[in-house]
Amino acid sequence: MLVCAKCSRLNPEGANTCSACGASLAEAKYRACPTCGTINSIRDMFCFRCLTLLPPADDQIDTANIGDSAADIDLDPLAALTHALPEAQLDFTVPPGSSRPPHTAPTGISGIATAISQISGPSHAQPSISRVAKILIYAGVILAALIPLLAHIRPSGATSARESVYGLLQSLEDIPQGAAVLVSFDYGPAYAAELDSLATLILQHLAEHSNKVLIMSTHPLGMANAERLFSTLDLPMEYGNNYLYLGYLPGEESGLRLLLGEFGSVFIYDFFKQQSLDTYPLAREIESLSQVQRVIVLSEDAVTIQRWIEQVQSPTHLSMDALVSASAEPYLTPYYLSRQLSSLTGGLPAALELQAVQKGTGLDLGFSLGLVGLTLLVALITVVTTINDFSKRHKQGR
Amino acid sequence: MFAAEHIELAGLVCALFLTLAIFTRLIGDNKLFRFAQSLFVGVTSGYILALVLRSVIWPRILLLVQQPAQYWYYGLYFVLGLMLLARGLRKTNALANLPLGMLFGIGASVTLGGTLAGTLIPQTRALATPFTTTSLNTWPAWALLLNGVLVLVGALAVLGAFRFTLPSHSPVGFLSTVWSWLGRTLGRGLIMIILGALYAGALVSFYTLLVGRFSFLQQTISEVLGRLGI
Amino acid sequence: MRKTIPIAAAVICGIVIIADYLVQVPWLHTAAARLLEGAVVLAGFALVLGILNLLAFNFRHIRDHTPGRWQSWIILISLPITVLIGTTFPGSGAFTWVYTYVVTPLMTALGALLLFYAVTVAVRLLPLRNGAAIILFASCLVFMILWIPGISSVSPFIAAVRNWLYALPVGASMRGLLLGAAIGAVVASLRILSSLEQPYTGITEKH
Repeated sequence: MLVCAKCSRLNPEGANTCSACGASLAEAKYRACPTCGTINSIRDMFCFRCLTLLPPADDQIDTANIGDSAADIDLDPLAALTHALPEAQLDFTVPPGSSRPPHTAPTGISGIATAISQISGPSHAQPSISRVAKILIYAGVILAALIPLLAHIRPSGATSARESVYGLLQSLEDIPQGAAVLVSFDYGPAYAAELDSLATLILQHLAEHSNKVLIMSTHPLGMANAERLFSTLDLPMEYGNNYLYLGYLPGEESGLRLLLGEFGSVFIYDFFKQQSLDTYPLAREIESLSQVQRVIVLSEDAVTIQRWIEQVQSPTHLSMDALVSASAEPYLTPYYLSRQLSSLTGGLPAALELQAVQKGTGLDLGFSLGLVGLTLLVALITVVTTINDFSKRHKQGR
Repeated sequence: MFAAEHIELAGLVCALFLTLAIFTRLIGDNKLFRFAQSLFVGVTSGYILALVLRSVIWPRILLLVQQPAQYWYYGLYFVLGLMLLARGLRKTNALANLPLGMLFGIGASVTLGGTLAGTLIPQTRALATPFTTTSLNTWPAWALLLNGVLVLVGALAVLGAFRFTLPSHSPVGFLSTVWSWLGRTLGRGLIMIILGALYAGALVSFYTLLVGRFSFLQQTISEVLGRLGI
Repeated sequence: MRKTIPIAAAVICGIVIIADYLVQVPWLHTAAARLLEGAVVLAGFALVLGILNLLAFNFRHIRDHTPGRWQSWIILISLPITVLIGTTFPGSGAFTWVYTYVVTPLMTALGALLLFYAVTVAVRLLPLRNGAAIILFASCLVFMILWIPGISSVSPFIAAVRNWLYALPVGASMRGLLLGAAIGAVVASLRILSSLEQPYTGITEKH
C-alpha cells in the first residue's frame, strides 16, 4: 500500500494516482508493509518491524502481486491449503491481539517465497506450469519420499556426525546424575516425524541417568504430544517421583517470564491427573527454575526458542539445549555461536546421526539417499525452468 | 460395549481415511479434502478450547471460589477476560480495549526487556568477539582474527540492508549512505545465502514430514489388514 | 475515556514490568508477577475469543446460505463435541482417541503436503535470472547436501566446510538479521509503551 505524499491516504500498490486527492503517487515516500501494515520508507528493503521483504521501488515489477506470492502461484493446487494452514495456526496458536510486536525473519515458506519472487522478477512474466510437468514433479517428490521406506542400507563401521550432534552429547553428559531437568515440548503432532526421535533419545538418556524430568509446553498441542510419546516408551520412571507433567503455558513471552516464579503458581494442577502440584513429591522437591539444572526445549519453530532465550535463559543463565526443526536451525545459529545455547540440534538428520553415534553402528542410508534424490530434483527443476525461461525471453525478444 | 481392540482398529481406520483424504488434494480440490480440512479446524480448535478451559481458566476459578481472600485478583482477571470476550459483539467491543491495552503494555515491556537482554546486548557483544567453533580452534591466529573481522563486516552489511532512516546531509548521514551501500551489495548477497539455507532447511523439514506420513501409511495399512485377517 | 483508560493501563503495566527488570524490590516483583499471570489468563481468554469468532463466522455462513456451508456444519458440530469430551472427561480414553486418530493424522498430513508446495515454489520462482538468484540457488543446494545424514563421514573436509559456513556466512548474516529485527522490536515496543502506537484502540499516530 502506497502512502500519498499529499493527503496520507493508503493506495494499492501499482496505483498511479491517489484515490482521494488525485495526486501522483510517483512522489510517494512511504509504503505500508503488506504483512503487518507498518509504514516504511519506500526505499526500505525490509519492513522494519516484521522483516517482510518490501517491493523494490525502482524495479519495474508488478508489485501488486508480491505480497500474495502464495496466492499468486496459481499453478499450485496447494495454494489454497497453504492459505488455510497459516490461518488455522494463527487462529489457534496466536491469540488475537497478540501483544508481541512481530520481529521475525522470513523463515516460513511464504516469507521465503516472497523473497525469492523479489529476485526472480515480475510474477506475471513467470510462465505457468503444464499439467504434465506438475505430475512429473509430484511423482519425483513421492519417489524421493519412498526411498527411505524401500532402501535400507546400513554400512558397517562407525558414523561421523555433524558437530551439533557431538555438542548435544557433550551437553547431556554435563547434566549431573539425578539432577532436575525441565523439558518443554513446544511442537505439535505435525512435526512429530522430525522431533520425536530426538525427544526419545533425550528422554532415554535422562531416564538412564536418574534425572528428574519436569515436562511442560508453550504449544497448545505439545502436552498431548509428550503424553503420547511417553506412552510409547517403556522408561523406568514413576509419575510424580521421577517425572511430572506441569502443563500448557499460554501467553508467549509473558508466560515464559512468569516461569521465573514458582511452578505451583504458574501451573496449579498437573496436566495428567489434574491434581494440585503439591500432591507430588517431585513438585515439592523442585519448586522453581532455580532448582533446575538444565532446560531442554524441543521446538518446531525458531521464534519459540528465541523467546525462551530472551525470557528464561538470559535472566537465569541456565544452560539451555535447543532441539529444533531443520527449518529453524539456521535462524538460531547466532545464539549457539554466542553460547546462549549450550547445544543446537536440528531435524531428523541429526537424530539419525545421534542414534548411530550412540549405538556405535553404521547409519541407515535410506533417508540420506532420499534426500539426495530430493536435492537432485530441485537442481533439475531449477535448470529446466532456467532453460525454459531463457528460451521464452529469447522468443519474446525476437 | 466395544472391546478396546475394536476402538483402536476404528481409530486406525479413521486415521488412515483422514490421511488419504488430505492427500487427495494432490489431484485437485475436492469435497473429501474439504471435509477433512473442516474437521481439522473444528476438532483442533475444540481441543485447544477444552485445554485452555481445563488448564488455565478452571483451576483458577476453583482457587477463587475456595480461597477468595487469598486469590481475589483472579476475580479481576476473569472480569477483564469477560471484557475481552465482549470484543466479539459490535455494541460492546470498546470494553475490550482495557484488557487489550494491558496485554499490549505487558507484552511490549516483556519484549523490550527480553530483546535487550537476550538478543541485542549479547549478540552485539558477540560481534566484538572474534568467534570460533570448536573445530576451528586449530586455525592459526591470523585466520581466527580474519574470521572475526569477516563475521563483523558480514553482520554489519546485513544490518545495513535494513536502512534505518537517517538524514543524508550530515556526517552520520554520510556514514549511513556508505552503510546502506554495503547493505545493498554484500548485505543483499548474504541475505540470499541465508534464504537459500532457510529454504534448504524447510525442504528437509517438509521432506521428513512426508516420509513420516508414508511410513505411517505403510504401517497402518499392514496393521489394519492384519487385524482384519486379510 | 474510551481511549484514556486503556492507554493508561498499557503504560502503567509496561512501567511496572520494566521497573521489575531494572530493580529488585519485593513488592514490585509481586506486582509484576500478578500482571504477568493476568496476561497469561487473558491470553487464555483471547484464545477462547478467537474460537468464538470462528463459531460466529461459520454460523453466519449457514444463516446466509453461503455456498459450501456444509463445511461450516462440520465445524459447528465437531467443535462442541470435542470441547464436551475434553471438559467432561479430560483424562479419558475418548479425548486421547480424538487426539491420536483425528487431530494427529490431519495435522501431520497437512504438514507433509507442504513439501509439494515448497518444491513447486522452486519451479515457479527459481529461474536463474540474476546474480542474486544464482547465489540463492547455490546456497540452497549446498545446504541441502550438508543436511544429508552421514555426509560428514564422506570426508572431514565436508564437516569443516559445514562448520565454517554455519560460523561465517550463516552465523554472521543471521546475526545481522537478528540485530536488525531486535532494533525493530525495541522501537515497536517503545512506540506502544509511549502510546505513539495504540493497536488495542485501533489508532496509530502518524510520525
